[in-house]
Amino acid sequence: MSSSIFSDGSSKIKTSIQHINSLDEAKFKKLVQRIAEKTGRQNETIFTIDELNKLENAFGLSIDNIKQMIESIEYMFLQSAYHLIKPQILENDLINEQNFDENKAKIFVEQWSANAKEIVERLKTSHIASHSLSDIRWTLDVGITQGSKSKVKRPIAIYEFQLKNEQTKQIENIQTEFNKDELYAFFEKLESIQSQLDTLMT
Amino acid sequence: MPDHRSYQDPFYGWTVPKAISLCVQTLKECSSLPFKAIQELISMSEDQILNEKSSSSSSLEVLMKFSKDYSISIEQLIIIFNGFVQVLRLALKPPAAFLKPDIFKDDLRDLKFSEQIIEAFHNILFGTKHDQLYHVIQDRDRPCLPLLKSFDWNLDVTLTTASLLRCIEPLLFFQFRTNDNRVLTFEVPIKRFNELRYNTALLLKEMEEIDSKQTLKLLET
Repeated sequence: MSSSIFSDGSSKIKTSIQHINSLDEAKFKKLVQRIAEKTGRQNETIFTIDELNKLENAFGLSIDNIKQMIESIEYMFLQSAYHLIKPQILENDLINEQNFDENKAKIFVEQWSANAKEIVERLKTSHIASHSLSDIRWTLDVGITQGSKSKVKRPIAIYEFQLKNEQTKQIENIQTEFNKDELYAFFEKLESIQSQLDTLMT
Repeated sequence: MPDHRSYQDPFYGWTVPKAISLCVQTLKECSSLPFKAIQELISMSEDQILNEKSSSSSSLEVLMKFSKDYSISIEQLIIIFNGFVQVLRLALKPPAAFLKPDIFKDDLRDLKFSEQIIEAFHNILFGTKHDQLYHVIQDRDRPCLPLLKSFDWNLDVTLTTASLLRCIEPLLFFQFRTNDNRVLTFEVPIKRFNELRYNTALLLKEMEEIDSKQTLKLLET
């Protein structure tokens, strides 16, 4: 009866762990460091094809085995993040349940402690909505004359909302204008959202 | 009291616009048109300005009816109607404070309109719809970027996701509807929301300060 947090990993992990245990410690540390930096980033590959080839030579393992190893390490980071596991418990889990070599387990847990906060932050802020607001730009113009009226004094706020489509990474620009009253109403709405946020977070 | 003509240009500009001079000339030619009909044309021109889109077809019907009733050609009636609309548009162009009633009437006399017509124009420009007319001319008849028709929002709390067992993150969604009929639904990261709020407050402050800027004081009307 395994109480490991990695218990729903497949047998691929077992073979990867065997490879890991056979690796040189310094190389393993660098590998884990690199994977920790990239875990949780959406749509980014951890190693390029060139880098994978270099690793093949450095570790003396086939590309498939290397890929499997990288996936397993990433999976372990994601599971650790999912459960927000404490370092000591993680170490015990790796050594006792997963047959990790002690030194390698220590290296892994070290990297986890160092990067946990960032990995969790990245996972927290990853969006699943189709569009998200990526940037806001604005200008304040004053209309002074127009075709239908010879002398006006009309301040206009022009907003450009940049919406990013999460799938295609395309940016759509929406421009809107607000006169003073409209801007004030908009601001009041934003303030009511803020007060809701404040009650939520206390 | 110096004559207003010495310090203020007539509301219609330096020279009489062709549309208005044609209108006056045609009015002289159509002496069979009773003042009742002219009165109606003048109030139709007010409608034309206020309700641009809806009034065109109904005004055409009225013009056709007049053409039949008073045996005047439709082209002449259109010229007269167009002239009346131009008079109103040009009168609404300068700031309201500049065009006082007697100056307006004097300018109309210079254009050679009859006293009855001048009185009718005066009642329209300074009558009940005065504010509405000025508002329409200033705010509607200009190029305009889309306006935000409605703005709905949703504040949720993410408790757990596929990647995190215990999360507790606020999740903010906006839905904008603009007056060119676009519906935009998007997520707003809390960081961006704070930026948006800060910038909006900044904009409002800048807008307030506009009144005190020296260069813009020249635009006091």
